[in-house]
Amino acid sequence: MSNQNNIWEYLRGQRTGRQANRFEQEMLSDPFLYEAIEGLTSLEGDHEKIVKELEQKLEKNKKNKRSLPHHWWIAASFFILIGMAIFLINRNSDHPESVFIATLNILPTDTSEFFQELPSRNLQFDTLHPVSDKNEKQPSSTETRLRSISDPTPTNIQTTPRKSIPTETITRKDAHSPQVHVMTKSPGIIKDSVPPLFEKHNDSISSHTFIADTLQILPQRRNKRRIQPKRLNKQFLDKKPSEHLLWMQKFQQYVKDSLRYPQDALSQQLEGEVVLSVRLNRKGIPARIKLIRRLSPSCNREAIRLIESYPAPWEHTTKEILITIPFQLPKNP
Amino acid sequence: MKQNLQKYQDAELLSFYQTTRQDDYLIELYKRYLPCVYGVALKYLRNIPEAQDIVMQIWEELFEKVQHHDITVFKNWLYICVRNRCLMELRKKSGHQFVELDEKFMEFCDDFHLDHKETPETNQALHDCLETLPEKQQQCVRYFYWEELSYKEIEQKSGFQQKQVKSFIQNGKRNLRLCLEQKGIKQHVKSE
Repeated sequence: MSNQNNIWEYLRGQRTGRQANRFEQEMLSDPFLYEAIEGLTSLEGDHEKIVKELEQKLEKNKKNKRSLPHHWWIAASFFILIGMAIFLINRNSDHPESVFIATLNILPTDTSEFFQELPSRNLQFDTLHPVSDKNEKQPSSTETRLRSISDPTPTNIQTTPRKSIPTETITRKDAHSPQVHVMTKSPGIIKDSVPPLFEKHNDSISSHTFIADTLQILPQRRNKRRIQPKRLNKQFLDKKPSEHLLWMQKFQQYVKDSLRYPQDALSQQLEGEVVLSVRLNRKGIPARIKLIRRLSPSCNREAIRLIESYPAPWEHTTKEILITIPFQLPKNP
Repeated sequence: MKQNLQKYQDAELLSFYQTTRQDDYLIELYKRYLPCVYGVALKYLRNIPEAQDIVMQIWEELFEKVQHHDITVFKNWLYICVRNRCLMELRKKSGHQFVELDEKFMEFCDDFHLDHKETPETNQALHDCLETLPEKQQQCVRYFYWEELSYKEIEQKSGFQQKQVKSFIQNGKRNLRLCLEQKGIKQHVKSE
């Protein structure tokens, strides 16, 4: 295949005699070249200059083509969004109080080293509660019960009274156990609040491992200001699962007492359930009642009447309440 | 790097690109045939700006096609791509217009090459067949293959127009091939 120079030389007429004949013989055996020469000779124009411009465009396109094609960016962003969504879902589905169990290996015999090490780990403590039974009474602030893993017998130790501690304390109440763990972030307190426990019972702690249950480590801030306590989900803490059940029991009792079985349903011996969803407004009054499962027009009306005329306060919730009102025919004695 | 790439063959540049995905190799390969691509586009579309667009569009499509197609000879494959692209463009413009196959294109389907420096037998057969050709075809074939004159020179010498010269040469070549086949002489196949 002739190179570009041969083509342009031939078109310019610079090839004559045998050179031209060779090129033409090559054309006859190469359809690509033959049709190209035909095209280049059919229209007038500075084709050599045009081809050079096209070559420059190719070079420019090469630089712009570094980035990925369009559809790759769409696919990559799609997968990133999915990953973020999965991460957020997993994060929110976890226990609201972040539980962190740290195992502190206390090896040195000199306890002062242990306390000096704590700030580097972003940890401080003034009381350590061992993993204890749920039924155990919660210890007071002036008393610390410490129990090592190797020595299961608990030891009651008197601690020195705590000095005034700044208000930035983190209290966390485990939903499942009544223990309270207090952690402060005040560097000056460490030495003062060292309980005599460690001085008195050096042997018991020097080679044992303690588990600090539910220590909450706060992230370090760049500016050393007071660390704000983490806001806890009070609703979750305060609300007990039984409240909802109690309310439902009351409501069902009310329905049982106040239900007026429609005549037409009685005559037709109609039985069943009417399911409704109730959404409360800010005042706690039903603002929207929606029929989910219907029975008969008269039964539906009766169910709505019961909900509207409920005298007691409704359950405090922002979500929709699903209520099932059973219509059961009275049993003849 | 650009100067070094010129020493590589088409197949080597293609394999370099397919393995490394560096654009330089494909650019060098495409630049070698850029005048031909442009010329073929000019022949079919008869319009310089449209031909330029076709050249760039083929370049854009080349990246993907090179990866997915099994290419043995890049030049031939590119030629087919260019022709198909141009025909597609023509169909878009006028939906029912069909581009007839050029008869001359059929001349390229065989690998018949006139080489009169073969054995004495084939040489004799060739001369005999040449005598059977029409006068104009015989004249042009002699000028072109034996005297090795260019189209221009034949045009000046014979008085025929360049298109006629081309036509006579190709038709004469075809008739020679047929004549030699009748005499039981196989085609001369030139290896590239």
